[in-house]
Amino acid sequence: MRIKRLGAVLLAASMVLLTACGGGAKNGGNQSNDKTSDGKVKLVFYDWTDEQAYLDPAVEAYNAQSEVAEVEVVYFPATDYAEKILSSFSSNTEFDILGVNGVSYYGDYKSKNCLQDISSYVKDSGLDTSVYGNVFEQSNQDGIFGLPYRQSVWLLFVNEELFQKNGIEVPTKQLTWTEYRDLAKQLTKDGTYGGLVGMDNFVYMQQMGGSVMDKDTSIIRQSLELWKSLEEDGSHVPFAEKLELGQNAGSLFTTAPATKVAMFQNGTWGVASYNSKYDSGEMPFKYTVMPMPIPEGGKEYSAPSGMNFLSISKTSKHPEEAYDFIQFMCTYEGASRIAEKGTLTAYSDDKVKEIYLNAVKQDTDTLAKIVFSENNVIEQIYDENYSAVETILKEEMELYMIGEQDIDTTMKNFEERRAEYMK
Amino acid sequence: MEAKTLKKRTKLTKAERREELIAYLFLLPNMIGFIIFTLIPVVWGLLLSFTNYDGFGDVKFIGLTNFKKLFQDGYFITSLKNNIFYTVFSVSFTLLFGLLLAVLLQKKLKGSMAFKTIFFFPQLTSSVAFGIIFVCLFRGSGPINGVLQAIGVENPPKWLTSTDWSMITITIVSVIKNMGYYMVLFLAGLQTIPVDLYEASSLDGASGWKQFKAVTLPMLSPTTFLCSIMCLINSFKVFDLVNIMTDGGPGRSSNVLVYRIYQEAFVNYKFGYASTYAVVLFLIVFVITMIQFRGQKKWVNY
Repeated sequence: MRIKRLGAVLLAASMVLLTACGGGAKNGGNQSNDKTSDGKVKLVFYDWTDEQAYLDPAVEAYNAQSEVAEVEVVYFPATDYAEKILSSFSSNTEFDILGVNGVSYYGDYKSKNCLQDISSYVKDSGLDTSVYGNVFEQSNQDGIFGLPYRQSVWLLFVNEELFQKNGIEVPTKQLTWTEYRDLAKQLTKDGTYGGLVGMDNFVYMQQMGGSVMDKDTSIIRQSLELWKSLEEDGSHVPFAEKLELGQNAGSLFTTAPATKVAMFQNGTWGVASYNSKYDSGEMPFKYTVMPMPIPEGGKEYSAPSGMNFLSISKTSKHPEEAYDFIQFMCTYEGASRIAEKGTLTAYSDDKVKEIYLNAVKQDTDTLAKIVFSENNVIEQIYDENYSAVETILKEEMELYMIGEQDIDTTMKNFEERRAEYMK
Repeated sequence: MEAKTLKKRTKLTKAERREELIAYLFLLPNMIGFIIFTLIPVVWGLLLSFTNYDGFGDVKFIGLTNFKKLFQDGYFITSLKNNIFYTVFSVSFTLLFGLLLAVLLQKKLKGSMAFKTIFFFPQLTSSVAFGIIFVCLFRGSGPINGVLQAIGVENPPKWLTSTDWSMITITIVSVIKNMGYYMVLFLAGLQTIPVDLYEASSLDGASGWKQFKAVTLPMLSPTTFLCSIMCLINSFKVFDLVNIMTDGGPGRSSNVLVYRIYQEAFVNYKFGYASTYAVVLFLIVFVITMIQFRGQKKWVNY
C-alpha cells in the first residue's frame, strides 16, 4: 500500500519536475553562468545548420583572439530556424546574437523591436558601413540593427557541354532578356531545355526597381509575362514540372546525366554547393556562370541581391561584447574565414575578394564581375505586409503559369486580393 | 436506496479513503500533463483569438474584430470549402475501403496475414515520406500517368499541378495511408459479432449480401460510429500531406484550415487571427461531433 502511494507521488512529482525543467532550461544556461573561467563573457549565438561549415572556422578564430567574450553557436535545422527564433523572442529566451536570413526577416524583427539598435556601437568603432554597398544602406535607413556577414546575388549557372553540343559559344557579354530568350530557344533541342527558372523570384521586377507593394502593377505584369513567354517558347522547363519538383528543381540541372537544362537561374549559394558536388563526382560537369539577363537599357551586371545579417537579440545582456563579435565576423577577420569556404561575404576588400575567388575555383573573372558589381539591386524593400502580398502574387502567378487563367484575370485577382494590405 | 447510499458514503473507512487518495494520485500525472499541455494552451488560444498578438509584442484585446474579418476572408471560405470536400470524400472512402478490407481479410485464409500487414504498413510510415513518394508517383510524367496512357487515356489528369485535381490527389493519398488503420478497427469489431447470428440468418435463408446488411452492418455499428468520429475529426486536422505535396496550391486549390492557421501564425505573424481560425475550426468539429452523437441513438445498436 505504501509502495503504491509512494509510486503515485513519485510519478506526479516527476511530471511537475519535467515541466519545470522544460521551462527553466529555456533561460537557465545563460542566466546562471555567463562568464568563462578566465572572466570572458559567454555569448550564445543562434544560427541554422546549413551555415555551420563556414561559420565554425570564423567563430573559432574569434574565440581564439578575443579577450572579452567567448561565443557558443547553437545550430537549429534550417527548416525550423525561423519558428525557433519566433518562439525564442515571444518567450523572451535569453540569447545574444542571431543570424538573420535575409532582408525580409531583418525587417520583420526590426519592426517587432526584437533587435537592439547598434548605431552607437558602429559609430564609436569607426566602422565605415559604405563597404557593404547600397543593399545594406537601403535596409538600414532607420538605424543600424545588424551587420551583414553574407550576401547572395542571382546569376545563371551554365552547362557549357550542352552549349558545345549545339555548336554555340557561351556568351561573354551581358545579354538582355530578349537575347537570353533567343539563346534559350537555340539551346532547346533533343530533350534539352535552354533554361530553368528554379525559384519563384521576380527578377525582372526587382531589376526594374519594382515591388509587389507598388500601386502601379505594370512592372509586375511585365515580369509575369516574361516568365510565361519563356515557357510558351518551349525553351524552359514547364512551370508545372518545376512545381512538382519544388525545392529540388535544381536537380534537373545538376544530377547525372545532366542533359536536361543548359542555363539555370539561381543564386550564389549554389557556387560552393556545386563545387563540392563536382569534386565528389555527384555533378558530372563543371559549370560556368553568366550574369542574369537585364532589361533593355538596363545597367550591366545588375541582379537582385540579398543579405544575411548578424544582429543582437533584445534579450541580450551583453550588447557591447556581442557587437565586438559581430564586427569581427562582418569585417576582414571573419569575412576572410567565411570566404575561404567559397561563401560570398557582404564585406569585401581586395584581399577578401581574392580569397573568395580562389576558393570558388573559377576559370574566368565573370563571377567576380557578377558578385562585386555595384549595379546589383536589393531584392525587396521591407514592408510589414510584404510576405502576405507576395504570397497572394505567387498564388495567382501559379494559376497563370499552369494555364488556368490569363494575365488580365491574374492581375485583377492580385489587385483585389491585396487591396486590404494596401490601405 | 438513498438512505443506503448515504449510509454507504459515511461508511468509508480510513483504508478506503486512503485507496481513493492513491487512485487520485495515480491520475494526477496524467491530469497535470493534460492541464499544462492541453487545457492551458487551448484556453490561451481562445483568449488570443480576441487579440492582435503577433508573437513578439504585447497582447492587445480587440474584441470580435478577428471573427468579423474571418467570415469575409476569402482564404477562410476557400480553405473551408476544400476541407469539407476532403472530409466528405476521405472519410467516406477510408471507412468504405477499411470495412471492405476487414470483411475480405477476416477469414483466416492463406496470405491474409501478409495482406493485413501490407495494408496497415502505410500507417507506420511517416506522412512526410509517404507524401514525397506519392508526389513522384503522381508527376505529370510519372508512373501513374504512364499506366493511364498505356491503357488508352490520352490526356491523363495533371494531379498536383491542376486546381481541379490537387485536392482529389491529396484525398486519394490520405485514403491509401489511413484505410489500413480502420481495417484493423473493423476487424476487431467483426470479431465481436456472435457466430450464431449468422447461423440463425442462414437458417432463415439469408446469405452473402443479405447477411452483411442484416447482421454485419447493424452489429458493427458501434465500431462504425467510433471510426466515423475519429476519421472525421482527423480529416479536419489534415496538414502534413498538404504541406508536403502542394503547399496549398496551385493557387489556393488545396489550402485547408489547419494549413491556413500555420500560414497566418508562422508566415504572417498573426497569432491572434490564427487562433480565431482555430476556435472556429474547433466549433465546426464540435458541432459535427455532437450531431453524430445525437444521431447514434437512431442507427447505432449496442
